[in-house]
Amino acid sequence: MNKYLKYLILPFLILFIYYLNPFDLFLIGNETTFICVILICFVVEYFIEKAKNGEEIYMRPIAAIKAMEEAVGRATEMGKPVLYIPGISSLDEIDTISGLIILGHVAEMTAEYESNLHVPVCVPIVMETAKETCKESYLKKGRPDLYRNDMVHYVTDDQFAYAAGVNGIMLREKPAAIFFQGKFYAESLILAETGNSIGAIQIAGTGSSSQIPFFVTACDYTLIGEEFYAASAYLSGSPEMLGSIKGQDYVKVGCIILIILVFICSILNSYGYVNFDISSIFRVNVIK
Amino acid sequence: MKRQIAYFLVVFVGFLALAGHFIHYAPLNDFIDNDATQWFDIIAGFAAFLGVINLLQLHLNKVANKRQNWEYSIFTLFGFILMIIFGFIYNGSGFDMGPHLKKEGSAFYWMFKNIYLPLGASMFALLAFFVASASYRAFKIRNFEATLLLISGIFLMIGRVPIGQLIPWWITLEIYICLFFAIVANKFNDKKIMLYSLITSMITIPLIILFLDLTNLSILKIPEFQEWIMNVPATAGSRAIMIGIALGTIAQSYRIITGRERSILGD
Amino acid sequence: MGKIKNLFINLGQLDRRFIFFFISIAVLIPLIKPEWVNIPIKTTSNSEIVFKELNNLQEGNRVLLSFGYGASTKPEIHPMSIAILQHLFSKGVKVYVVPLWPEGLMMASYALDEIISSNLFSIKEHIDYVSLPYKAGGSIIIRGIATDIRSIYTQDINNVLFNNIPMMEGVNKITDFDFVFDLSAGFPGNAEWVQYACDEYGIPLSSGCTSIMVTDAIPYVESGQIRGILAGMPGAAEYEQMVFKYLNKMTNSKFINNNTSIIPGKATSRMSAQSIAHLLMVLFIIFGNISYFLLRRKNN
Repeated sequence: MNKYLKYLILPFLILFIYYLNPFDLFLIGNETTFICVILICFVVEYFIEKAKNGEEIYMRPIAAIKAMEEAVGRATEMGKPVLYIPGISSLDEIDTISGLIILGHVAEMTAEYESNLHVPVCVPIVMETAKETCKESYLKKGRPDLYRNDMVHYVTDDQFAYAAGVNGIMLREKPAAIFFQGKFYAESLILAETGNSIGAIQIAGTGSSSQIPFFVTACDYTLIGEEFYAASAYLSGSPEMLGSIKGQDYVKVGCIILIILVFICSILNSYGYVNFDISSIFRVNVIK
Repeated sequence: MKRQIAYFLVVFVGFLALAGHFIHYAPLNDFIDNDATQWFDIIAGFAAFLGVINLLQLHLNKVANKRQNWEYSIFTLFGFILMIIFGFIYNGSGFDMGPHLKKEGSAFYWMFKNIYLPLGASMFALLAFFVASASYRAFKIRNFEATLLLISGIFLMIGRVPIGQLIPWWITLEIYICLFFAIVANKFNDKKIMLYSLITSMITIPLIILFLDLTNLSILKIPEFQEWIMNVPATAGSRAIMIGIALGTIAQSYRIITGRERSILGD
Repeated sequence: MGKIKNLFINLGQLDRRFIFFFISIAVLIPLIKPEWVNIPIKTTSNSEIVFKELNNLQEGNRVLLSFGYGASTKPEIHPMSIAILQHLFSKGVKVYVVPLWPEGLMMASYALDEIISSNLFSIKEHIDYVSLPYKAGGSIIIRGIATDIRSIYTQDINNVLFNNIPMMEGVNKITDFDFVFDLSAGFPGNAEWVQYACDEYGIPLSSGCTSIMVTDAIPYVESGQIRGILAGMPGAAEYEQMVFKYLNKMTNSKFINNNTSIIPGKATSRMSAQSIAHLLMVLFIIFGNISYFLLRRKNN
């Protein structure tokens, strides 16, 4: 218990220093964000440490993640390639980074099963990162001989030209498994429908909430919302990663409690029982 | 050693960017607000050369060795070279090289306006066909969730367009009655009783609504009902997913900037 | 009875190419012959809020109009931009055009050219409107505009310095504008304007976006951070209709040339095509479900 006491003392110490604001060190107006960042980081860190110390973490089964290995296996049996599409955004989007992390795990699977992996990318900087990720995955599995440099290649930067190019790849190569993992916009349905028409098993995951309905409709499995970000931790299986997911879930419980609290306070405020408008504390006005 | 430097850079820059939002130190704030993202744009811009080299390498290789589908690579290379010529070599207008890219009269502008823009519009237009075939295939009453998707999809599709306003209140009511019986159909052992109940409901309930003068209820007008679906359940679901995505982003970012997520660095 | 059942089963298992063919017919006929299908358009509350907000603007107010769409989404958003410009110019509002997409620059120039060639308003560049050039950066540009516009832009699209543009006098940051209207089809879009500029500095913001983006934007609309929203082509058609009625009422306005006839926008005529297409999709869905039930029964 003592070793976890620091996770209670330290955040309040930091918040106290922030409140004191010695030497005008901190920006004014950003308090809500700062408090949230500190609390979330310490909650996540707490559960990571608990997991590292051997606590069992239960993870509910996510069908899409379990299906990834089956999809690669299916592609191997059919002798067809695996197509991996890491989205159309650059590395400044967290979705792309998550997509590349999952690519690493899928590349390990294709190395193990000895099936072909094809990764057409939309952004050159993502191409370089994807190449390194795939190379390391194949090396980790002891199959550097199976890695080819043209496995990951650049198509074009333009959204719909990329969609057209990938559609062409799908119709010519007829991959047995298609992964859509990253940031997608309007081209998502074009890609998913074409994949469906060739009979491939499709597993999608994106943080673009407006594209989730299209993937749910056209793909066999979809990682919705935070499942996509949790997938990388799930696939790695390491206690640290799983602990961070548990921490994230506890933060979500905190958000639910806060929403209920704000809801009750807003009702009381609107009926005049309470003078304070609680929603005003969530406004951000940074003064530099 | 190379990997250690990469980890150090990730952790250092991550915490620096985070600190830039909270620490009151003008050079740091300026760096985070302006310079850092510009540095990224510059690096990404140089990476474009890598993409170009990769593209040329791949397609030239295909054409030279006459690999499978090498004929398509000729089109790619032709388009690429043509735009390079129009962008850097041939102007076609009276303007200087550089500004000619956005001036009417130049060959590049002509290509952009008459080839690139119509092609982009055509690709987006394909969505109309794909939405139709996707909904035709996917909107089936398989289970409760699929039924809910189907009902809300139909109401939204009809309600969003002017034709939804032409549908009278009694047709909407009949649709609700049919949907209700579709959901409870398996509770009826005798299908004849179900059929008689359905027909009776379809006749009597509209008469009751007419008698009680409730024909102006919002729920009986498809456009207003779809507006309610958009404003209430769809917004609630959208908010929930947004909050979930935001939390997932925070956790993922935390794992990356504390150096725990090392897959992208090759570990 | 068996023949009818088989017909429904076959209808439910149509090749997707038949669906594509019927959809193309359903869309083409109303576009080629709009007089055959003429369905009245009723306005929704979100479009009415946008109209009311812009209608409350006074002569001389400054509106920042952000163009964040391209050729692919032109059919949905361009009619909105024309209607918005017509509404703003009819009230003598100063319009500051900012393209946040490379194609947005061209879309803005098409929209302004269309307004000028209609001869409905006697507008002059640098007096009534100014077009800023495209700068790469997306949300950085928005942040720059919010804090110091002159750190991002020093001249307009025609390389005229701000010091030589009368309507740029006193315009330094977002708080110097009275309203921001964002026309977006992706990133950066209305969410970025809320997060980096308008919500922080308290500037009213409204938006017109594609139908797909509306579900993402609706939480901001419900919380009041975006004042109303024009949702895709239906939103564009509703707004066009409101502006058309408004312009026809304002016959004595000093900003409108009375000798010029007011033509309704293109979104209104395209709504018939969308209506028929949606109806056809619903029919296909119904046939698909009937076939699904019949097949399930047959297999049981």
